[in-house]
Amino acid sequence: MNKKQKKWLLPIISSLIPVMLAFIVGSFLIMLSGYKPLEAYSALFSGALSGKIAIMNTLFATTPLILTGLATAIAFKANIYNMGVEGQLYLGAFTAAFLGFTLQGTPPVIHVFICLIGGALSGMLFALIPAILKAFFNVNEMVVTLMLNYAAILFTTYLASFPFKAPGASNATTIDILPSAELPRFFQGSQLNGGFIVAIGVFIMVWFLINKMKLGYEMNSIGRNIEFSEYVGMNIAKKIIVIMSISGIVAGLAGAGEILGTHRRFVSEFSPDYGWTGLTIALLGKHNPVGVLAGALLFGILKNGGSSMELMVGVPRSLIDVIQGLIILFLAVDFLIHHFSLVTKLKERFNRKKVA
Amino acid sequence: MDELLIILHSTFRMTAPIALAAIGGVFAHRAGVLNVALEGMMLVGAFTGVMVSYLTGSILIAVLAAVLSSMILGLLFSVFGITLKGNVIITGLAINTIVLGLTAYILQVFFGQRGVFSNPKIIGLEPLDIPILRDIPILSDILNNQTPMVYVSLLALILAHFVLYHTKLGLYIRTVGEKEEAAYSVGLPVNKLKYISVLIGSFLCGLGGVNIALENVTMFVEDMTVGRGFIALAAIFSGQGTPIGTFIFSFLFGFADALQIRLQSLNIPGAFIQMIPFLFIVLVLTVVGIISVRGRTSRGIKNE
Amino acid sequence: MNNIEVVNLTKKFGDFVAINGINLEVKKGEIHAICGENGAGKSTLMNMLFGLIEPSSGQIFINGEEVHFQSPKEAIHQGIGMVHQHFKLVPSLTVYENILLGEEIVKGFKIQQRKEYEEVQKTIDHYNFDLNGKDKIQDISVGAQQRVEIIKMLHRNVDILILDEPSAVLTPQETDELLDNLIALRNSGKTIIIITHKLDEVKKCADRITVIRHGKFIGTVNNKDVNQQEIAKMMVGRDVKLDLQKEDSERGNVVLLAKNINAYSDSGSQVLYDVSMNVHEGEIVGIAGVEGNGQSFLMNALSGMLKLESGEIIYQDNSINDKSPQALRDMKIGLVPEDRYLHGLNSTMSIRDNLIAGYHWRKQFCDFGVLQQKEIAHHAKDLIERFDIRNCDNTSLEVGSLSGGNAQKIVIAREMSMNPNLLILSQPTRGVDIGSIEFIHQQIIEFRRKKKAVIVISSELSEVMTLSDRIYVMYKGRVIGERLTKQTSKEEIGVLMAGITDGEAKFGE
Repeated sequence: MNKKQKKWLLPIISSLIPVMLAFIVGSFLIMLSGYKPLEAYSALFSGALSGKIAIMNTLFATTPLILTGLATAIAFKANIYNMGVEGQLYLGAFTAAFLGFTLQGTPPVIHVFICLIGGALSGMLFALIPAILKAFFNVNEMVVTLMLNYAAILFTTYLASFPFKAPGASNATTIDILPSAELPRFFQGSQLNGGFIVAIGVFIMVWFLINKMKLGYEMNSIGRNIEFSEYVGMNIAKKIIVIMSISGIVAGLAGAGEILGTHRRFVSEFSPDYGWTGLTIALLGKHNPVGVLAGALLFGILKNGGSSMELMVGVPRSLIDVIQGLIILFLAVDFLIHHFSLVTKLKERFNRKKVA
Repeated sequence: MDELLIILHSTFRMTAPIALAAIGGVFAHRAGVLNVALEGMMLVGAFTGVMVSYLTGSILIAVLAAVLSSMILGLLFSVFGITLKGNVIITGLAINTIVLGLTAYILQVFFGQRGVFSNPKIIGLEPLDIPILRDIPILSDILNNQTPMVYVSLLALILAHFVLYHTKLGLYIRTVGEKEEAAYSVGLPVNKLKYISVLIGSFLCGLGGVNIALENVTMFVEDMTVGRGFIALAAIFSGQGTPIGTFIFSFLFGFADALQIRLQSLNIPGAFIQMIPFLFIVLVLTVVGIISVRGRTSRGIKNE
Repeated sequence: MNNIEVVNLTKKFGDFVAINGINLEVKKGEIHAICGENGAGKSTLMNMLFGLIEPSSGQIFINGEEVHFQSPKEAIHQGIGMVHQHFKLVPSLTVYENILLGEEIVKGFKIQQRKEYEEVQKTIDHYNFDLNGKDKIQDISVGAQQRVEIIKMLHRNVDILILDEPSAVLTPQETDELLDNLIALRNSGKTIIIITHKLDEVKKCADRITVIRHGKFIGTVNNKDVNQQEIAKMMVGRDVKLDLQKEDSERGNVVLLAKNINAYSDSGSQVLYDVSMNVHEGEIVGIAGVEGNGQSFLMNALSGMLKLESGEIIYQDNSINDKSPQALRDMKIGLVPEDRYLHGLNSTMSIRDNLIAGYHWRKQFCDFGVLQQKEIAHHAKDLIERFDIRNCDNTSLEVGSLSGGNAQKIVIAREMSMNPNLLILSQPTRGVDIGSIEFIHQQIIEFRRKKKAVIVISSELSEVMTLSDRIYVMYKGRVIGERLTKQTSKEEIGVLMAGITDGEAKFGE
């Protein structure tokens, strides 16, 4: 019993500590700028969680983060630094929009599927560039994906501001997608839509992949020791390509879902750093799908609650960025927490119980 | 010919911030610390420079404050990444995110501005007209009347080369990066050397950041470094961590930047051309990769 | 007078007691050997003397004065120098830069490179060492690198020199040279501590010997009062059979045949020259050689990790050039690599998962891409029992938590469990306790009894001699000799290992 408890509890605690520390440091910042931290935080949480609509909006904010978080976690699990989820998301988004407004006369459900698949595939293809470079030429995938992010954002901006610009639009957007391509919204008053179902579906599949499948075993092995994995006969080049493809598919789906469910047309630079937030969430969730789900929910709460905090109390929502950054910062020293402090003591206590 | 001189002049201008950050970053790189926070360090330099220039009206104090703020970040990075042994990549990304949020937050709370801050009271960096240089043909067209940071970046290149290859400090930094156990075994202060390397980087990043905000535009825009820190990082990687190689690649990126500005006036879509430097880096890395893989005989990829 | 005195020294890492109340006295001007099995705590003890690790309790006296070293620098200052098993040299720097590291000669800020070189060369010449100060470390031999390490310490005027397993990387001839150097240094008044588990070297140079076992002090003896057998007994705690019984075996068809293989390393230098060899059913073939003479590359070539430039490797009548490790495993070749924790095991993965690695995609463990956890757990349990792997009641524990011997048994169990026709092992018992060595050797011989073929690559000459029916000796990337074990001697193989041949006769073609 204890063993099981320990296995579940430790990662949760070691993820919660950075979150708490970040909120504490954030409260100093709030105080310095003349507001009351408790007021701000309670506005944040009640804005995100009190009432059906608030909760639905939080889930709405969570939707893309689940996907970008999973996309990053899949790659990170195999120690592949796919920092390009943001770029893959943009290409997925544009492709979904393009299919959404061009394929006239496609039956509704099928149209949505085509757009989702198109988005997923273009995310995958874009992820293949760093994957192939890494697999065959050992080019640092972190630098390549970072650079390609900028390229993807600029490229889609170009597409939306020149060849596919909506006539008469003042900024860089395409025309609206056809109604048949829209992911339906569930309730009046919330933007929560079918994208959430997609995200949950992907979560279940990724969970199964990582925990039950051969590929999950291989990802784990590659992530821990790539030379060992090659030596026992996993074809690393091929695996990198497969893993990055899956990561790109999930990232592309994130973008497609946002377009089909939320914006319903392509808007240049529409993503408020979903990719980067996903990266944070993947780290927070320790590359574990369940952890990612929890992390995405936390960040959904922060995001949804952030605007009501600004509205009700006046604390700018950029505070949320600061808190996110602080969470990452404290996460980075997880090692320290793991070995020298609170968690170690808890661990020792568990061990002692086990012996007793 | 004139066209070329104008582009070269503007290349040096565009190169300066990238080269400053990159040459600064070379030290941490050589000490074995991957500093992803160059971006945040530049941004905080830009922000502090603008704010202090606005508040004091003194460009000198503004530059000093910018450098100081950037070095505080360097210290934060070092404490978490070196002393507390955190993952340096994650630490660096965290710092970038914090800076992004914090600059926007302060701007809104204390200056009542969202996203952009510009004010006539902000004093900028003036181009320098250098007596002897102005009389040399061609060279004066390229190098004269540049912002001071252009000259600082060239000075930084020379100094970095000297320090790295001809002083104890440089030798020790290289030792720490190449073989940490060797440094430990003769009692070199490994962590202190890493701190120094990171701080040299943040010092130069501060200067680079100030340059972005206070030459030409004299204002602060949220996220105004737009990835230059990462480009600097790519320049370090591509230049194999040598100051000269790194400067050459910074210069290439500066050139692509300058070219893009020039081409924009020819009515070629901006976004399309802005992609050039990013794709260029990927291309360079690919070529480097292909070359280095050519002689390889062993299967697979090594652990990092 | 005692140069070093250690009283009741203890070091704990968490719950693990690495050094348990050790007492040690080293006299001035003697060569003192510290002997013990792998993992007995020899290196930990010396690292405390050198200030790399702080003791948990106990005292250290240098020349009668108690010391508390915080860093190696303080130890060096007190006249203690250490030459580590893994050299602490910077490859891209020159010999003189490495020797003076931390004590550069500067004028203003600028390092005076010329003056540095001259000064270092003077020291090198004074001790009559074969070194050129201007060479870069990355360009010189391992033996020369070790001389750099020794000079590095002598240049700092140390009186006490600690050497950690100094002969591990040397040829027998280089080892003799080293021992001569050490004796000369002792005669000039230096005190030398040598950590080793090679008893013949101990016998050759030591004045006194201290044995430790499982972190405990067993005893200090005069070299002239004991023989090798007695030291071994002190080290292990029981009588040790230094040789192994194996019956003759009828050898069958050729299983693997390598023909004139040439290969280059990643950095472009040739590492294998025209290597030809073969192994038959029911035969154990040993590859002897001093470490670094191409055996690792040969292993990599045989296991599909290194591309051949020319030549051919034929296994059961099929060419296996450029076959991946997975393809080789499919063809029933078992591979036990040299670096256990890099290639043999995934140390942070569970025992259970390690026991299927490389075979995890087989129908038995994996159905339609889904892993069969029950079967995997069952498999683990079975192997742990069959191979007597200790301390693995919980198969979800990390492999890294096991001792070297048990970890190696995991690799051997995994590779043998799939019933291969050919087993290739590299350094099968490195860093393994004597009990496990005996077990592993028995398993290998048992395997031969089943008419299977075995290749054993080892830099421990005694291991090659006890196991093999036939021996190839490698020198500088070449096979320079082949001998039937029965018709050769340790001495003859040792001479070949040093690259000395005269009029080769070939066997076993």
